[in-house]
Amino acid sequence: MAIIAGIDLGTTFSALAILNKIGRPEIVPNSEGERITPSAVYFDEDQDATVRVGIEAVNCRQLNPERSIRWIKRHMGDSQWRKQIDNKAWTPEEISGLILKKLKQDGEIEHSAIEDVVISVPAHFDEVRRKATMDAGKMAGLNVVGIVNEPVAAALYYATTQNISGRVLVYDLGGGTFDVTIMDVEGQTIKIICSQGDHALGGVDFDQKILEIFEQTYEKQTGQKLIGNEQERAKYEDEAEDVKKTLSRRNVAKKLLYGSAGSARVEITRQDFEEAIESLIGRTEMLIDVSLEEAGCTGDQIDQVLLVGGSTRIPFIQNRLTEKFGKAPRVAVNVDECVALGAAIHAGLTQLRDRPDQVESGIAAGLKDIKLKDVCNHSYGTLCAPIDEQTGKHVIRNSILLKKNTPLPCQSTQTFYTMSEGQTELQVTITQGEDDDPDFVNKIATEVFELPPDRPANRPIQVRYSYDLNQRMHCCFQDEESGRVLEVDLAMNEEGQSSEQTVQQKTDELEKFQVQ
Amino acid sequence: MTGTTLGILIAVLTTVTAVVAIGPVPLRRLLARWIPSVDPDYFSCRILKLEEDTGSGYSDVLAIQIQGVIRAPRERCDTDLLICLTDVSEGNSGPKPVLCRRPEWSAEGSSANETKIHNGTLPARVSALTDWVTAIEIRTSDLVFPRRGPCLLECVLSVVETETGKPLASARGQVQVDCESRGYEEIRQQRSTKQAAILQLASCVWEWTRSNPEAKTILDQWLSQQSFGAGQSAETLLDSFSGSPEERVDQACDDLLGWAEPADRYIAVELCLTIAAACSDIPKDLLGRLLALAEKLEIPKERFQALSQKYLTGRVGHMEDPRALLGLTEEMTEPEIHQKLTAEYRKWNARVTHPDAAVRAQADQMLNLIAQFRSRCGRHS
Ligand SMILES: Nc1ncnc2c1ncn2[C@@H]1O[C@H](COP(=O)(O)OP(=O)(O)OP(=O)(O)O)[C@@H](O)[C@H]1O
Ligand SMILES: [Mg+2]
Repeated sequence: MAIIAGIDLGTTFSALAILNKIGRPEIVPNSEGERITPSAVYFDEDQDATVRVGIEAVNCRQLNPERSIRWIKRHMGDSQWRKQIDNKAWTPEEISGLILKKLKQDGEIEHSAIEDVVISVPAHFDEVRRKATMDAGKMAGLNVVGIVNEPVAAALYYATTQNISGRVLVYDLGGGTFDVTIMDVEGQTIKIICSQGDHALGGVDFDQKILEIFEQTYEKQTGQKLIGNEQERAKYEDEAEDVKKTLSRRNVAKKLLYGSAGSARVEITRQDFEEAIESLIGRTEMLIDVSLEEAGCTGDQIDQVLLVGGSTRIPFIQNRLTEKFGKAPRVAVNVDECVALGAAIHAGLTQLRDRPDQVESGIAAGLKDIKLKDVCNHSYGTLCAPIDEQTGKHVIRNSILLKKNTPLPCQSTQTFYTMSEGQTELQVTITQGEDDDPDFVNKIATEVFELPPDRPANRPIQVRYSYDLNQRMHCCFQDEESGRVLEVDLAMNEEGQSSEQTVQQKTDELEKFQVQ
Repeated sequence: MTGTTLGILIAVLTTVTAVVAIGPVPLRRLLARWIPSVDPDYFSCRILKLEEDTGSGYSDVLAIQIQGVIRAPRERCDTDLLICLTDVSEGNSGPKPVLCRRPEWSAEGSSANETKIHNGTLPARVSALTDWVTAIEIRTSDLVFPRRGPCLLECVLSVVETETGKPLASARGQVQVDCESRGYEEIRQQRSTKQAAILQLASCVWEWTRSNPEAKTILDQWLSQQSFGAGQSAETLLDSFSGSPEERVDQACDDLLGWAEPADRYIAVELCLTIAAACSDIPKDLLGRLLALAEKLEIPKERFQALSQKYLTGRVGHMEDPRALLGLTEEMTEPEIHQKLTAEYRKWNARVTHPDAAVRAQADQMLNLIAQFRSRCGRHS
């Protein structure tokens, strides 16, 4: 029977896990024998159609940063982003597809074909980024059976393999993103209460702080700039990460910097580092406050704090959490593996629900007691034009239909009215975001709903949103009088071309590239 | 009133109630009888106040009627009726036009208090109307008077030859009417008072921002879209204001509250914020002053904060004291500050994944700012 796998497609590192015969998740090492693979891609200059992924790509980056890409996850879903390599402009999904291809390929060395997978994403990833992640999977030749939120995956792993219970807060600080999730765990039943995330906060930002110290110190000592080109930047970014990791073990890290004005010594103490990242840590703490507020509880009511993500190895973060919650957080040895492991469990649960005949009996038995109750990760709404009480004028507002953190599956219906007599078109816009100000929400789809002619104003239009267990959203607009219906397909791209076609096209293109 | 006129009046009343479309009544139909007149030059006009059943109630209608003799230069002469309405109330500095909103009153080349109606050919060289005949009916709600209150409305009606425009007969009638809504002079005055008040406020912000030169460009642009001070530059207008900004703010806010629509108060605050956003360094106390100004204009605090964030977040790096932008005030206790910061964090964090890079950058900047304040005011909630 087919292998069931989970993939953590991380900002800095990715990992693949599969379920063994008894439904336990196991990490599958890559061809270099490593349990996690750097999410880095390098396009070989000499060999066309050869792409290096992983540690080799990281190493090549310092030599030729123009042909290398890291931290692509930060660009996921950005329709503008392209990386031009030779004759091809690569999209973030394609680059991610290459990373996934490497994981699949390496996993198949010792196992049979890896096809059915769940890929994890940060809880705060929006519809567009989730879709982009699924597309990346397809391009790599995978059958993406589902998407799971990283903290949920981590929680699944913790809850099913370690002894935890009660109200649990998962603090997931990785390379590029930060998520907080609060949930109730009882035996193998996990009920997610809420998730909050910061898209632009992670280990890379700490690296940047160290890099700033490098640059300032060098300039102070020599009067010259340390970094003159991209190559040097790539080199010092890597060194900054080294220093950061050293500071998790020792109190001081030393480095010799070579710039245009010769060398300079830099010594960074743990305290320097802590001061530099203080405001970033402040951001994580505020997100905790927001989450606690959302969950309607205080820090004392949290029974356990679970750490996930490589950046939680920073002692300062652990201390601050201990201070905040009055108890030390729980650290697993494999903070950077638990998301992949949990994603594999999630894949098992998804298959068990949707295609039980595809699941081996040992696995089914191993998973049968696990129950996961997830929530909707974003608020979804539509634009409307109510009258502003203050000014007495029509204003464009975002009206939320599905509220963030509603238990899944969920559905909501609201009635809106047409504005003018003889209105034959209604522009429907689906939004994602918490604001009522339309300028600050993400408009994920806009379509024109054609209405019957010759009607007075104020005709009712019913809007129905629903969110399924796979964290995908469906929207339907219905004109109550005529019964006309508009179903909005969130998978259409700007040109109106179904993205399935585009994905297929790109999958064929990626086929031609060999991944090493 | 004689029996005949009374009879006709009743007839007119019934016609009026039956007529749905208001407008000229073709005279020719009524020029039935040619009669030798007693006074060969008699021609008269009067205005009757009637009521029209609109289906959902009654509305006031003025019927302009004529009677008498019309002499044409030849037989079968084609004619028009020229009607002109003015307010001739005593105490006015002179007659003032009374405007009509109906489309036939806004023909090209004539003012909105005049209209020309085609009357048709006169049957003979001398035609006479023995009875009062309604030339036109006008709803009072279609009229725009100079001012609210009682008004002596005068109508000058002339029968003219279509071809040459030469008058054949002319008469005037008057009626006392009561104008219930604001008159155009009041609206005009109100508009200029309002615009002057907005400009006053803007000028105060200009002073508070240490006479930031950018403000002049913004004001010039704003002025070019207003009727007030048309043709004048912001420079001269700004120089013409005297008194301390505080006094001027009080006065201007009073004027806006008294005269303006609620939407205008928002326009004023947005203009002030635009000026504030344009200055190179935003002074420490500016936001506090703007907040006080908004409060005087009875704009709710949250609305002001939302507006100020909309205009000023991009300028955080240039603010001497960005606390007010986060809605923090001196009086707040530490837990209150914490709560406010958490709320602001929640709001901006939801914006940090926005597809527009500019919004993302703004959100990121705000999040860092919030985090900075939070670590500054102690970590414990
Ligand atoms: N000992 C350490 N001290 C400090 N930081 C560390 C340490 N070990 C790893 N990291 C940091 O952890 C980050 C990687 O963590 P992880 O693999 O969990 O992230 P990711 O899954 O790639 O990213 P994300 O989940 O945000 O997409 C890197 O920024 C790395 O520098
Ligand atoms: Mg991760």
